[in-house]
Amino acid sequence: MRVYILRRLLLAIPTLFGVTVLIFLAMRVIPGDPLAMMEASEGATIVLSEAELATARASLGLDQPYHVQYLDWMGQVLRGDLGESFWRGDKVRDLVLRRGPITLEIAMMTVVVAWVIGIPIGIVSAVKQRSWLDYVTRLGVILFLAVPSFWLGMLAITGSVLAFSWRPPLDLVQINEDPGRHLQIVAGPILVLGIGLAAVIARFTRSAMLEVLQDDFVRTARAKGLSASTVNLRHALRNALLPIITVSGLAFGGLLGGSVAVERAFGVPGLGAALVLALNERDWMVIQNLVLLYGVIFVVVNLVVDISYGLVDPRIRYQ
Amino acid sequence: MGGRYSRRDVIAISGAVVLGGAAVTSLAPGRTFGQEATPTPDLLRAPEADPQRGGMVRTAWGATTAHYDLHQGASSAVLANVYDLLVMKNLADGLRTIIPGLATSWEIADDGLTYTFTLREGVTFHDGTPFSADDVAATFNRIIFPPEGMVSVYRSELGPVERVTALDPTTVEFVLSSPWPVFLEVLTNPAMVVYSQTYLEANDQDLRREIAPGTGPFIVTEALPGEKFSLARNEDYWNPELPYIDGIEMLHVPVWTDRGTAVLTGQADLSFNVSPETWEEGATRDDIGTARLPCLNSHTAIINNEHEPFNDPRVRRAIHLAVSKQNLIAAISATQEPVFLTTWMPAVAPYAPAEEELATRPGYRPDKEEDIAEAKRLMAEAGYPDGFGPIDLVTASDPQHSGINGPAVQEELRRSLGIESEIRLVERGLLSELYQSGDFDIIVEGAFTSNLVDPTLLWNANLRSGASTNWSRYANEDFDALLDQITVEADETVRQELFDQGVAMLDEDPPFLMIGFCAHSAMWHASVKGLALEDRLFSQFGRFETVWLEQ
Amino acid sequence: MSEPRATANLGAAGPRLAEVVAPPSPGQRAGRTGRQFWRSSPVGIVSLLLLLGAMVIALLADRIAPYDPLAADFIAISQPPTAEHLLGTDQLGRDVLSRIMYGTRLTLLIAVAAVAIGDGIGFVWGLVAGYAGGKFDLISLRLLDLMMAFPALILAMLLLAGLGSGIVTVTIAIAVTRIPGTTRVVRAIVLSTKEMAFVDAARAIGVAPIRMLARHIAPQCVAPMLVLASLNLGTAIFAEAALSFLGVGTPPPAPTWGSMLGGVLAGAFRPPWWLVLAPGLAITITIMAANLLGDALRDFLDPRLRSQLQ
Repeated sequence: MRVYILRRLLLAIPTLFGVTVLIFLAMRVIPGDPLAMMEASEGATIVLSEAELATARASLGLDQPYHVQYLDWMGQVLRGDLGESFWRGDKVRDLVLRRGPITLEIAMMTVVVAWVIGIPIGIVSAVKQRSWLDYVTRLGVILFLAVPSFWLGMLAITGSVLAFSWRPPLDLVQINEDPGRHLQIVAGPILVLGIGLAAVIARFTRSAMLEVLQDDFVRTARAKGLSASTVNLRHALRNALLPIITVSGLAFGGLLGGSVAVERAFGVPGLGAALVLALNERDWMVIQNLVLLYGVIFVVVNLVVDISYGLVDPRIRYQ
Repeated sequence: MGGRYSRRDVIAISGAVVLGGAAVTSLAPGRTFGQEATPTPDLLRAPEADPQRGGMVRTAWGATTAHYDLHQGASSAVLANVYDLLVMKNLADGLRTIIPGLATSWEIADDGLTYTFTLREGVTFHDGTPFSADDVAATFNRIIFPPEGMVSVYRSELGPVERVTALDPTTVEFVLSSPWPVFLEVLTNPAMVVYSQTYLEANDQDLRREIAPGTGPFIVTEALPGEKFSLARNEDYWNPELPYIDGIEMLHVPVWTDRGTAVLTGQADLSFNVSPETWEEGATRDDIGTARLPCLNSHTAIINNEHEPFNDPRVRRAIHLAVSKQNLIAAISATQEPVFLTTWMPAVAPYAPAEEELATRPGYRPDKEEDIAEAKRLMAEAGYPDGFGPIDLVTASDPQHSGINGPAVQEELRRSLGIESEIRLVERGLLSELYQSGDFDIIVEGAFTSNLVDPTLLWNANLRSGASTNWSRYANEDFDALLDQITVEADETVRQELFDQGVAMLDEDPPFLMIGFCAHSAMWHASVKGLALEDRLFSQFGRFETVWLEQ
Repeated sequence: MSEPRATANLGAAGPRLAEVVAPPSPGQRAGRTGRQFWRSSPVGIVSLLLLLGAMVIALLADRIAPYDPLAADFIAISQPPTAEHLLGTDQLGRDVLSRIMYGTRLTLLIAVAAVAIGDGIGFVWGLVAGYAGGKFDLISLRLLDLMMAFPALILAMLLLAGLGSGIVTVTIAIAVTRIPGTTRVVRAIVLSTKEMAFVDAARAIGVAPIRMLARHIAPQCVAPMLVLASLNLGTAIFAEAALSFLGVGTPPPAPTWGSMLGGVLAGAFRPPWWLVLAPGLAITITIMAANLLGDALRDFLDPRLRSQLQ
């Protein structure tokens, strides 16, 4: 097991190396560098001469050859330093530590909500295949798959403002500071994202269950006279969990980086919003390190998912 | 030395309302403030009779900044509260008059070339350093003679200032090479703050990384760019009356609907610019205050005058005449900040014509029949009776510009003159590179803006031949000559005449398509007092020292 | 590990590719007739007809649309539905019905092209990687990991910043995010097919690798690919809408459903209902039809489920 984990981590090195090279080059190839964006930030009054631009770039180390800049960055990362914003002294590490938790929490709770809603629906739908219940839930599931989550988010905000004159707070309150206020911030995104993911989970559960219910061991279990619910839950669901875990892991990774639209709809100051702001400001160091962070999370989540297979299905061995 | 000053020019001793001589003070059309203004107390205070103390004000708008050096272009929306200006616009009278800040009085020489400021005594920076004339000299010399690597954003606004000298600890002298009647007005820009000389030297003249200590009414206690800034009151502020509140929490809320819903639901007390729908919702409620604050930003379609066929003034004039400003204003105002019919200057500029009168002029009047006929004649004369195209029409990629403003201009050009265009979306931040490179035919955005209600700088920076922000590459010798006159002319009556001439010139030979200057939709909880928000001459984010909360 | 992995998606639509990868059913060929399909799944047929209907609207948009979709009417900005404008007018006074019709054209074009490109590349890549194995497979897996480890939204925004906005860019941005998922799915199928008896037999009689791929292995992947493509079609439409909501979608003035919806919703509080409902329903119905068709195809092509029916 330990060897397996070690081998997987070694295999992750080329992946992460590729991610860093890709984002590093991308930032330098796409139009607009931090200076150009700053000129634009305050309207049209700021115009730099070529000479001014050159000295300003030099002061930021942007005149160095690419490989020097890249190695500098990697050196920093290996020393555990995530660098700082371009001009401001604020550390990327502080940014991640402050905003990461709320995004992480939303992603984790979304998966929990999706499991709580999605798995039972999927099971019922599979066990009662081709009943009206199956058709209704499948239709509902597909409907939710087809409604943009940012629209749901917007409707939720407008509705609560008009009906209750209430909206979630727009600042970031950590759970230990004020749990009630914190809950108000995260509840909306968790519900909206959770319902959307629940639809996905329900679909997977249903098809995985259908698959498993045909298998010999389930038939054997039935033949042994085990009750239907025992068979469904103890035997079938356990085996159906594999694809559900896979999907949840992937969705989790996507939620950490990809829920920007929903974060924006609810006005949550999460990591996704920080990334978009950094992209607008072309704050290279912030972008590069956040993307690297997402890469690391992807690797770790994948590893956790693969290891959890073994916990669910003891037949799987790791070599 | 005394002989250099005339009686008329010795003004504003110990805090009276300043107006006169060279000091250009903006007046809203039909309003008279100034000499006959209501008695002003020695020091700035809230306009209400008995302001209450205590409480926190929470604001919501796009409050973030790429760095912290105001003179290198940092956003003053947050930082203005940390510092002081030499002279400032009066928060209590709706930003109409100029009142003392760190300078208690000032004298302007007869020739308009020397400004001598007497400074306030007993002021200290937040880090305990005492404030003196050396700080003023160091601050402004850094702007005028930027050290290597510094991006001096306001150098051109201080144009002819040649030398800033500390005569003694409480006196500082600005020497100009030519008259600059807008000088005091320029100094009221919330970004023209005074930094500490000691701090500047300790930080190698670069203040971008940390928030430098100021002398202002508030101190930043927590800076989380892209999220929020927390400010606490400066207990040792030199104006003992201010500030009334304990602190401000400035939330960074990039989406303006969120700002609106935040104020509607009490999550924020004030926003200077909310979405039209939420503003209208707020206007129906008793516990919410609303105002449209005219702003100094405009909607324009910048035309590249160097590209054929826009190098022909007849083509540009045809566009100015034929495109319906009313249609564009209707389309933009339906979803964005309201836009007003204006000439080439903000509606609140002291020299702007009244809107009703403007609506009778060719190119501005709603009835297009005559104007389009004339425009078509001009187009035919220029050799394009059936229009031309497709031209490269650039807009910012945000949904409003790309979905509404760009297509609206495109449609108006096509319909009225047969000018076909293809829209190219460009990230907002990348537009400035395009403006500089000239790689466009038309950019629909708002690159004709200024910090001042007075249009002198606006015109000099954007319309003078060869000026660094003359994005349309406009070149009109007669207009340049007129600008030379305007720039140094101090007499208000003459200035009015010169500006009228300028507008006529621009209407005849338009640099680009002017759509109109806009207004911000401000909305606040009714308990927010002290800022004269209903009565503001123009929209300005930033300074909050007179705000108080009604309990 | 040969678990299929889908790309991190834009928003909560989530990956739903792995679901399709029921192990390939030996010997299943595209020999089923339409009538059998109809009997097995009327819903699938209805979905198919809906999609075909959308394509007809797309093809005939210029004939059947009542108005020019680009013609603004500044006097009639944001008018609710009337007899003249059945779906009302938008924020520039343009006829919403006509824009939906023309929008069908561009929306489907982008979605179909993105799916064709993304799934096409993924299909070939997966075939070759799975069949060739060895170093090529190893490098492919690392590359796919790399593509997935890169946040999809950032990838799309970078592409749009780098290539400039345009229909082609949006199509590429959506297509690229489809590649890793499809590749993994196809590779997994190839791996398990390789072990099957008939492949062994073919190899034993000396069938050349290329011929083996084309004649014996690729056909095994066709059915799952059809299902995958129908699901990806919905995802692509969805992704286009999300990009428009974030301001990096297709350039105006030509309408897509996504830009019609995203543009209205971005920064809106109480947008006119007809401006949301019309493109919203078009998107929702089409995605539902694509998903239902995918489901129906899967049920139909999966012999084990079919056997249960009989």
